[in-house]
Amino acid sequence: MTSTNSIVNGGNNRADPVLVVLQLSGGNDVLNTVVPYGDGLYYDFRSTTGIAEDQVIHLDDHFGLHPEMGPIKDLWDRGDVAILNGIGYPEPDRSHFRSMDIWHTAEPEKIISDGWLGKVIRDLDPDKHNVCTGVSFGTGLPRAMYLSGTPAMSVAQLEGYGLLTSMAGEKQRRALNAFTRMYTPEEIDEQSTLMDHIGQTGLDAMAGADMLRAAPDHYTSTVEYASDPLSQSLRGIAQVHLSGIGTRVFYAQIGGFDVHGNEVNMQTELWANVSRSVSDFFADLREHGADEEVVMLVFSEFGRRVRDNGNGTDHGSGGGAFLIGSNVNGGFYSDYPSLDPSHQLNGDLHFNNDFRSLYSSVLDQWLQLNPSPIVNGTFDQFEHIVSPLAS
Amino acid sequence: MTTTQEPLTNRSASEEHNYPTLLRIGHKYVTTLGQRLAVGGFRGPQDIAVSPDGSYYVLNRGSANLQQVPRTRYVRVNIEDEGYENDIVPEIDGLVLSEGDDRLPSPVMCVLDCAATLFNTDERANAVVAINTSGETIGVWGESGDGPGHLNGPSGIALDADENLWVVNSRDHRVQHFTRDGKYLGGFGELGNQPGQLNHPWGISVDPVDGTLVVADWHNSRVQRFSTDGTAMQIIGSPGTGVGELDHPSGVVVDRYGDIYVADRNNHRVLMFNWRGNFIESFRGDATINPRGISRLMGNPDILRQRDNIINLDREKRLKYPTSVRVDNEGRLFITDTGRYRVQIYEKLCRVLQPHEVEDAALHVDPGLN
Amino acid sequence: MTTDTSTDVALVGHLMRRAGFALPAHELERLAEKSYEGLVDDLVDFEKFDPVEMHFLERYHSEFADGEGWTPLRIMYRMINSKRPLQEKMALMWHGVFATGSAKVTNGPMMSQHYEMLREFAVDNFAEILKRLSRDPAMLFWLDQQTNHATAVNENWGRELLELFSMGVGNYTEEDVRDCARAYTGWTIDQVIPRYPFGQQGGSFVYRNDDHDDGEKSFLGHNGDFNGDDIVDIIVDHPATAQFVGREIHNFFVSDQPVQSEIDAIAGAFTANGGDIREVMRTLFNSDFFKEAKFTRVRNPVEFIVGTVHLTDELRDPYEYGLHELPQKSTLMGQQLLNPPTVEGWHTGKEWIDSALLMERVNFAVERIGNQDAPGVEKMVDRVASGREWIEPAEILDAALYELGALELGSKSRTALLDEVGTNNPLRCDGANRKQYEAAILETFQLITASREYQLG
Repeated sequence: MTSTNSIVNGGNNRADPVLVVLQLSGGNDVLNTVVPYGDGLYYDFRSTTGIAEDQVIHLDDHFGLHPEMGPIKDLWDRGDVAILNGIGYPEPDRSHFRSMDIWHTAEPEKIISDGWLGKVIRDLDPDKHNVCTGVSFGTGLPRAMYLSGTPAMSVAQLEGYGLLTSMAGEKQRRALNAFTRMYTPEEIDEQSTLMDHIGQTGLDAMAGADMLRAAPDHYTSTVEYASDPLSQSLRGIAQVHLSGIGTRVFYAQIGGFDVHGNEVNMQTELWANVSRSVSDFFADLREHGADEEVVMLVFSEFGRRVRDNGNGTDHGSGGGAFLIGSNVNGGFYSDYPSLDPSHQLNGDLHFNNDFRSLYSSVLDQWLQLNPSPIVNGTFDQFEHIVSPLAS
Repeated sequence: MTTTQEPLTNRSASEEHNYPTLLRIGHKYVTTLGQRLAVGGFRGPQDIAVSPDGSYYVLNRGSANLQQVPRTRYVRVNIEDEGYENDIVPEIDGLVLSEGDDRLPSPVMCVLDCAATLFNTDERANAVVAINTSGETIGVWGESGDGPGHLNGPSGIALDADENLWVVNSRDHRVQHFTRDGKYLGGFGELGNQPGQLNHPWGISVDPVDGTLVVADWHNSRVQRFSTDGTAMQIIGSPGTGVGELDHPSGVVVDRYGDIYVADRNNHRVLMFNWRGNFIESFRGDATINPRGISRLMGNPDILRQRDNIINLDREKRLKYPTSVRVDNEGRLFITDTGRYRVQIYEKLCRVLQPHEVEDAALHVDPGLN
Repeated sequence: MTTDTSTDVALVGHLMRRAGFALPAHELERLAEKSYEGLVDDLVDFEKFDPVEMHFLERYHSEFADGEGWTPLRIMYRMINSKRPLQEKMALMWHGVFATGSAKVTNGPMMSQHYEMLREFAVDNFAEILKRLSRDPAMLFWLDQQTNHATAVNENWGRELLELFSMGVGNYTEEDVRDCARAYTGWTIDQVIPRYPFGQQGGSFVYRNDDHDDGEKSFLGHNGDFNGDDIVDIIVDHPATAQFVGREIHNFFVSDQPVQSEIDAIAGAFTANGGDIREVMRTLFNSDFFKEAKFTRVRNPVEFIVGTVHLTDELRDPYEYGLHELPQKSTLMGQQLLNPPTVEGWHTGKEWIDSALLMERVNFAVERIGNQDAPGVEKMVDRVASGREWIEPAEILDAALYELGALELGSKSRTALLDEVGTNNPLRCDGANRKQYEAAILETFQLITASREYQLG
């Protein structure tokens, strides 16, 4: 492994396409996100949680967005939002954890540990030049970004991020000096392979942390993000991207979509939050002339039951996803699954698009990577869903 | 087997007392409140406060996210239609407790006073929290320590006839008396397993008949009765898993007839003793699914199929780690069934016997012939 | 106790890090009053010590009474407080070997039953362990045994039993897998009570004779109408199984690097004792190669966390706040208890170390050890500080290493640490200087826990 700083040293490295993955944890209720208000069955099944036609933000004469998604509608009007209906995988699993693992590993049949974005990072930076090629904002590295031997960084928040953060001032500076010296690999170490591995990993972590912590230093923006964690994560992503350290894959997440109860209020809060955060993020990128450099993929581990349970909905299958960005060719992709009971899958929307088709499209058309080894097979792509970054 | 404890003081039939003689008809199962839900249901329910207006306030400790720190959350429940109104969450220093907020992480038990103020203990914050039923925080009081008036792992809380509070200190094995705004009035208790000593006590109840205090002596697996000046009067139950025996009892409540209900937590049951301390009957749970639960299940075809394949559904209705017992003026018994996210409700059926209706006990030498 | 039967503190430190969890020097000194063999006997014959009192955990974490989320916390609490450290350590080892994950099982009570089973039979006979495992509801569901029917065989359990839980690939044929799976037809679980509306309940093992294929099977050269337990008996007698157990135990207790002669020694003990794991462990801990294998393993996150908490002497009382953070920390370091990534368990050794995971480890240890209010830290600082007038920086370092369990630092780390922390002059230890002196000790503790060497155990 070579040292991290060399190729990015303060330079502006924004020539390559960047992918931001936004995870909506808990199972987003697609039926109340992209609402089929023109279908009477929707109101039959959603007697208590259904959204009235006059509140839905109409996209066409049949579908509309949740009332809080106005900022997303603005992006849609710019042609920047692709809506992917009926995304899922065969034999849906209604466990949050297993279903999330399936999305993270791109493998619904076997239980494997390699994350799909971990493989993306590996393929984007095979020589491990940049420990910050993949950066996740949130608590802990998502499995999607985990691949043994491939470094990725995990940041709770940029401010105060780093090693030995429980120490302060002069003491921390001394400690970091000592850390650097203690970790610098040396061939004469008795167990040199293992000790060198720990040493190099420690130095990489420190270099990566230094780059990330310095990212906000030269950042200014007129966009005022809200104080919620997702807004702050996306702000951090904008800062890191604009700093030009060459991060290619970002991860952000927001939880709370598990609306078994009190769905109407909870979804209102959540989508107000997501819509504003995402809209601010793209406004920020536009302000810096960087909006064409980024594509955002929004997904959730599954959708929810067609029939509501009294004041919420339970775990279902057949989710939906969004692809957002200036280079995205906006519009609906594929048919909305039928609500007709005879077409449902055990009370769920029947998925009609494999999520690995979406991954493959993004990998091939945007990141210019060969999708097959990453998604564990060959899948039909959504044609021209995103245009490549102009060089 | 049951071991009948000798009363410490004479509470036998010949003593002058106000406890009525009852014809015990039994207890009728009424309904079950709640389901496993962090929103519109319960998560880690600890106790229930009973309001005269038919509302009930279930004190929850668990968070929506199991990984996060717990927090204090009441759910107001209406027994008639099992309606769930908004959650009531304390607001401290202008900030409503949110998920992950660890300022009041460990609510234990609660009571509702005549002015509709809810009081609950918090065993880690060493505090008593007073909020009104609209969720406004009226006060938080308590000073950590082992001295008079200090709180140390407060758990049980009860109101007496003067609307003062009795609070159990689990960590220093004491019972203390306070006004509702936290002024210390007195207290007693010390660690040990002798009569009158306590080991990590939990719940407390004031006997409405004579004002004595009944305390769940948790780690001694027994219940003790004290006079308000701390004199030990009676030991009820003994450690074990058999009939009338207790394994780490948590909640305790005395009803208007002097009957003592005990949440026999680790035996997953509730026991009832009479005022003499004799075991009368036990409750193991009879839960049924309420309309909200049914509506929930109807949206899930796979769960309906799974339930159809269950071999022993008996397990579902039984109590699991019942934490508290409470009674209301209608003679209803509320069991907070913590391990099953619900409250089970029974109705007591009995007839108070007039002296002329029952043979004089003094003439009676237990012939056991009839 | 005479000095003749006492044991070198550094060796006791090594034994406890491996057979249990790291301990500070003052506890090691107490243990070192015994002979080494006596210590090993105390570890392996652990039933002579009381189990951990769990009532207080259940009370002061009563939000977890539903049993769904609290098993990892329960496991860590027991590790911190157990007088039977080897039992906890063996359970953790088997958990990695027989890796069953809650992501698929999604049943808290069942996962809890699973881990309790691993603990209860931790040092039993290996055949007995496999027989319990083959009746464990979580394992049966994890490997799809409920779909292994007489008329439609599902080989998942049958294959993993041979490949990952006993002999390993290369020791059997596809026909053996097939007939092994056939022998387990009808081994299933009953329908569990679903989570809605009143919470999950555990499952139980069910044997359905009418779904069992009772035809003739051919397995590893044996022929007969085998049922599951017959398969286990044949497996355990096979030499490859002794080697398998030898490899797993060597990897977990001795070194990240396999050494065949040492694995052979463990396998030999397995065979000589008829598969009795307790005797295998006794033999292992008394062997010279074990005693010499200090600091040859990357500590797994659970060992790392529990060992560090032992040094700070915190969270022994469940009333103390913060216990719930430990399983989360372990997850952030790459080891989520009850949820190993795949049936192969966690990848060990250098794979515990990557940039994000290493940052979690270093920051956790440095923060914990830097908390002078923690009773263990206070005690260690005090032991270094007391009874001296002057001290050289190198003496502080040596004393600190000793307090943390007789640790060792390579020369580079020593030099770096002394250069940064040490003044070149001896420090005065008493009077007004005491504060400054204690701060230097604390900083030394922190830098030791930030070192590469501290990752090892």
